This record gives sequence, structure tokens and C-alpha cells, in this order.
Amino acid sequence: MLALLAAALLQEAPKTPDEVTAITQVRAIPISGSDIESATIVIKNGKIAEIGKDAKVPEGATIIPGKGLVAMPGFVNAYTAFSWSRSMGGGSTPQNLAFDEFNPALDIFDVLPRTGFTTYGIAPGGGVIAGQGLAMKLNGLPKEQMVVSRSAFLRIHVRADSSVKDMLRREFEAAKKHLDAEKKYEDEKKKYEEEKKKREEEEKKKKESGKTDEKKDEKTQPLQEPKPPQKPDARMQILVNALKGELPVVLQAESPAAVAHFWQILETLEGVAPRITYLCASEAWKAADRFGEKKATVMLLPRLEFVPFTHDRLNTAAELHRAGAKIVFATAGGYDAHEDFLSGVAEMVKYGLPREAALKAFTLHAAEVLGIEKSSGSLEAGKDGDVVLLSGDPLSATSRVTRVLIQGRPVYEEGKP
Amino acid sequence: MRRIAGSILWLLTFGSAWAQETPKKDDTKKDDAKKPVYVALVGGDVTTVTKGTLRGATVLIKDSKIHRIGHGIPLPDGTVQHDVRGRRVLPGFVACSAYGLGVSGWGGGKLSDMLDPYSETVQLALASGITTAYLELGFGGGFFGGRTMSLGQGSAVVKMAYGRLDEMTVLEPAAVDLSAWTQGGASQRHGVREKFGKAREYLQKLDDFEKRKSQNRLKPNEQAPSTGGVEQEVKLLKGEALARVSASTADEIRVVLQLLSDFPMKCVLVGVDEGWTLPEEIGRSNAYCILTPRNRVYRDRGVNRPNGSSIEQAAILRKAGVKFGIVPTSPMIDLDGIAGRDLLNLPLEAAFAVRGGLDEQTAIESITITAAELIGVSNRIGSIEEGKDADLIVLDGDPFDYRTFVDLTFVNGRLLYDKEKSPYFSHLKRK
Repeated sequence: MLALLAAALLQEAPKTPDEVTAITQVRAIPISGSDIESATIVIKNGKIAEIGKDAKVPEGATIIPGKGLVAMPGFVNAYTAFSWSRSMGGGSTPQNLAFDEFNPALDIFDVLPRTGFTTYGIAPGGGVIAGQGLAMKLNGLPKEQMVVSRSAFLRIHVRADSSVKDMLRREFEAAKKHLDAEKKYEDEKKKYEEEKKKREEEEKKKKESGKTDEKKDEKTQPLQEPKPPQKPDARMQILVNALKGELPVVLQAESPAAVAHFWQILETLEGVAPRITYLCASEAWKAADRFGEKKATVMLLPRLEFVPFTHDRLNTAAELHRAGAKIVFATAGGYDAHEDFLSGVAEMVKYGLPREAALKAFTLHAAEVLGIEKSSGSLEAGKDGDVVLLSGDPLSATSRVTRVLIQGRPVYEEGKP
Repeated sequence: MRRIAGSILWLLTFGSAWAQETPKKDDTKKDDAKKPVYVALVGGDVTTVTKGTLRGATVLIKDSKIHRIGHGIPLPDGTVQHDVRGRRVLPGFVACSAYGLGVSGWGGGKLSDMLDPYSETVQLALASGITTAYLELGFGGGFFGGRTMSLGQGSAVVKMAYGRLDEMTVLEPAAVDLSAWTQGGASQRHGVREKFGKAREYLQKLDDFEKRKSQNRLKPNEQAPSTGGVEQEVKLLKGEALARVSASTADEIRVVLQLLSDFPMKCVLVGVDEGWTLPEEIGRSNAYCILTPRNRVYRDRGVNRPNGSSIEQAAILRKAGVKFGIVPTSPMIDLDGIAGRDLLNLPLEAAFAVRGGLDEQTAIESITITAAELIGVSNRIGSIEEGKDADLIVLDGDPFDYRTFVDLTFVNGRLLYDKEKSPYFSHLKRK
């Protein structure tokens, strides 16, 4: 409660959301489409109302002159461990919420927007099936309004180890059974409804034709409504949702071997379609071909490595992208890591990652990890008014973030306290 | 610089040679659209192990299997050719008792659940010519006298299929542990004997049941007899599984031979040192041995019979018709201590048996086909024969020469090690 109060007090009183803001004559990198040389971005009620060359500035709008500046969607850091609680559980606790250990009043949240980041995924601490991460925006509002989704993704942390594998296998097989029962019930229910309708129509016809129902057809058996299967408990329901692909999964893997074992488990479960982002701590490049084959989403630090035993640069992101994987960049570090983030991304582009993939990696594709791509990650009409203005190209070493809006609210302006 | 640039490329495509050699696999297409992949090793001296040596011959691989061997074989269009003239082509070496190759932990559970197809030990095994290994979890019976007692616990036969977890496990479990027989006292031995007795009884009952069934003489509702908790022993007696037991001294060996004479089965004696003192007895039992020719056990002069180790052991056992595999003193990839006595140098251990009088053919068998046989996979692995797995190595010289290096290693038809391009050993050039 105190934390909420503190958070509310620390921030200036937020402006009313029905205010209209227009950024004019800005070079826009909308991510979802091609760049616009001189665009107008209109933000109304916290959402982007219009973006384009010919967008009209509504009367009474607060105008932000964007000439000479570059506009991008707010950056998304999909995986951080801010305010992890100290108690690290083990085993399978999918019901745990990062929301319950999340402290919205961390000092760092005040300064992070000036690095261009507006949106965060916060992972839960804990064991193998650790719990659900949240998605939030640094909008300076109280905790409940900061958090966009309390259940944005399920964090699973794996090693190439038989005990971990046994546990995952057990849990997923149990979830799969529920999934199968659910499917079976839906099929039966559908059949039942059809049959019921059919019989009702027949009945109707009979009545209309005036025939009285003296002799009941002995052949037709009374219809039995199928019974719904026993509902999984809340814990199991989360795993079921993950297997269905309704709850995204972030799979944190100690090694590519751990990922390979995870795939082996999934292969035994027919008909499941989880949405997985792979967070491979190291050596993901070794499995580039496998990630590529699966068109997997892989989350990385924007950092060059060395080829083992050499001083030759190794661009994991570029290799994975070339193989067909989708790249997401994230940083687990503090303010400094955020400050250096763009230069890290620029390095990846410098050494082979296509620019487009690099820019998507911390915007639209990162939003997909959190399942919030419909509201965040690009400058499109209808999406949240999260806009970052830069003094130049985002991948230029001399560019600075000059202004940041989150859901239309100004949260940072260069030179202003 | 060129070498370095090459090595980056190599590392990045390590294990994806398949993808390099074929058009991208499209899972949505039907199977019949898949074209076979042909790879040929052309012009090498091919040591088939089981069918002699062919000079300047070609081995043609189709997908993951050896397709044809011989001279003047027509190569299908699109065959990837490796010119190996002047070099030796052998089946990949088999380490018939090993630890830690491609294993990411030492815990309990199934070995196949803790494999790491990307581990450095897999890369180093490939660089050493080893394509298959019998692996155990943990340290089994621990280290005794500098070598390991293999007891069949948490065992599996594993291929060094870099990057391909699904292709690694060949057989699991790979052996039945009979250590209770040699290491326990009389009461434990009694327990083992009783179990085998039960198993034999079951097999007799089953035989009787099957016979009456075929003659329609079964009682109404008669069920097949149950194994009663001795499945493993039944498998052993039926010859469907291999037993493994550590037996170093003559006494230990004799004790095992006693069990084998009462209950004939396929059995592997691991860590045999004094086998040379009773070669005929071992020969009569048909037991396999695993030897470490460089291992030394000092003679006890207080014992009034030949004892201790002998460099001639392998040669003596060979004369008595005993089949054996050879492993080095440290049956793992060992980057510490004195070099040359771990799996990085498996052929040198066999060469030491040659030094003790063993013929080279048997020595090469002891790290290929016989090693594969005593871990139960010789139907697929261990020799260059048409239809067998394409696990092949190309050497730049005689396998028993200490100067020889592995140039190329193929597992399931995929080139997984190329010395020129790999960071391992590419800097070492043979003069």
C-alpha cells in the first residue's frame, strides 16, 4: 500500500488522457510499415489516432514539433527480473505471479524511460516452471494501471537434466490429458447440439403435419447431454493454456541441449501448439539450424561474442536470423545496460544482422513475446501512444533520446527534470 | 586468417552439414519428395574390418547408411565427393566403456535425458575418431587402480551425433549390472543364483505353455506364466540382454565363470587384468572381456600362482579365442594430467596390445566391431558394410601410429568433424 502511495506521489500528476497530442514533421519509423519522411502522429485518449504524411492536426492539440527528429514506437524489454523476491522456489509453481512480488516504486523506473524503453516484461523468480510474468508500462501510474497484463507469459527455466525433464514431462502430460478431455467434450457437445436440433426440427415437422405422436419411435434413444470433464485446478489450467498457445511461454534455457530436451518432450505431445520464446543463455549459435528450422523466436542480449579459441567476432543474432529464426533483444541489466542498448543493437547490424530485423527485435517482436502486440510495439493507429523521439537515427552512435510519451503521457523530455 | 575465417564458418555450420548438402527440408512436403543424399569417400584405403582392406576404393553413403563399397562404383548425380586418396577410411571407433561423453550431468535418472549434443566432449570425441560410446552415469563402481569399473548402471549406447539429440541414443539400458555377484558375499550370491533359477523355471514353464498352446491342449482360461519379478534375468538367459560385471583378478573372473557355467548368457567382464592366467577357461565361457593393455597390477609374490598384469594379455586371450574390447586407463575425454591415456587416444591403447604380441587385425577389431558386439550394437555399428550406419573416419595414416590424426569424421552420413576447419587440432600438421 505504501509502495503504491509512494509511486503515486513520486510522479507528477498525470495529464488527463483525453488530451490530444500531435507530433509534426517527424521522420517516423513505424516498424509495421515503411519509414515516413515527414509524418504527423496524432495521439488521442492515450492511443495513436492517426499517423501519416497527410494526417491532420486536430484543433487544440498540444503540438510537439518533430522536425529533424526521428519517431519510434516505445522500446520493449520483454524479459527483466526487476524486483524478484529473494525467496527462490523450486519445482513447478505455474500459479505464481510476478505481479505479487513486483515493486512499482523502484528508483530505476523513474530513469529508464530516458533510454527509450517504455514497456517491460517482468519475469517471476523461482524454479523450473517458475510462474507467470507481467507486462507493464512505465507510465507513472499506480501499480494496477502500470500493469498491462498480470499474466503475460509463463516462465520455464530448464537445464539438460533428467530430473528437470522428468518433471516437465509429468506436468505437460497431465496438462495434455486435460486438453484432450476438453477437446473430446467439445466434439461430443457439438454432436449433441446438432442431434438435438435435428430432432427438434423433426418434432416440429411432425407437429406441423398434424400427426400426433402416439407411437414413440422405439429406435431413437433418448439424447444424453455429454458431461463436461472435470476442470483442471487453477495451477493446471495455466499449463493447459500454455500448451494451447493462449499463454505465451518464455523458455529460459541454460544451454541449447536443454532446448533440445524440451523439444523432445513437446514432440511426444500431439496437437499442442505453445507459443514459445527461447531465451538461450549461451551458445544459441550452436543450434542455429534447429532454431531456424522451427522458425523459433530467440531472445538474446545485443552483444557480440567470440568464436571459441579465437578472437573472431560471432554474431549470434545474425546467424540465427540467417537460419530463419526470429530475433528479440532484451537486457537484464540496470540503467547502464539500457543506456548502451542501442549501441549494442547497432553493433549487431554492423556485423551482419539486417537493420529491419534489429529494429523489430526490441519493438514489435518483443511485444509479441508478451502477447501485447495488438497494443504495443509499432506506430499504428489504434495502438498505445508510446512514442520515442530521437535526435537522429536509432542506430547512430551520436543519437540521443530526446522525448518519450507513454500512452500519450509525456514521461521524459531532454533537459527537463 | 583464411583458416580462421574458415573455422568460423565451420563452427556455425557444425552439425548442419545436412542442410548444406541438401535443398532445405520442407516438412510440409510429402516424404516421397525427399531426395536421398549421397556422399562418397573416393579413393581411400578402406579398412572394412570385417571384409578385408580395399585399396583405392570408394565408399558411397546414401542418407545415413553405407550404400556401396568398392572400385568404380557409379556415383549418382549430386553426390558430395570427398577425395581421400592416400588416406585411410575406417569405421568410427567404438569406446565400449566410457564416461561423460556428451553427458551434461552426473545425477541419477535416464542417461538419455541428460545428453548434451552440443558439448565439447562430443566434438573432441569426434576429433578422436570415436563415433559411438557405451556410457554410464556417475562413477559406477568408482576408480580402482586408475581405471573404472563399469557396472551397467544408468547405461546407454550413445552416438556422437553432434547437434542431433534424437540421433544420440542407440540403446538404453545397454547392460544388466551383475556386480552383486562378484562384489557381494555368499548370501548375495545366493540371491543372484535364486533369481536365475526362477528365471530358468519361468522359461521352462513358458516353453511348456507354448507347446500345449500350439497343440490346443491348454486348460480353460489358462494364462501364460508370469515372470515373477525376474525380467532382467529372463532377458539374460534368452540372450536378449548383455550382463556386465567387473572382474579384474583371476579369483573374480573364476567366480563369474562359475555363474556363467551354471547359467549360460552373454556376459562382459570389465577391467580384466589377470585374464592371461586362465585364458582357456574364459574362452570356454564365451564371455567378452574389456581390457586396458597399459594397465599395470603388480605381481604378488606371496601368491603361489601366476598373477598381476601382463602386456601379453590381449595376445594370450586372442589365442584362446576370447573376444575383447579395449579402452584406455581413463575412459573419458580427459584434459588434465598426462596426455595420451584417455579416449582422445583410443587407438594407442590398442597399439599397446599389438606391442604385447596381438595381431593388428584383432587390435582394430577391439576398438570397432568387437567393441560394438559387446555393447550389443554390432548389427548397425563397427564395420564398413553395405547397409550399416555410415559412421566413418578418415585418417591421415596408420591407426596405430602415434603421429596419425583424424581428418574427417562422419556420423549417420553427416560430416561432423573436419580437422582443417575445426578449432580442434587444425593447427597440428603432419610433416
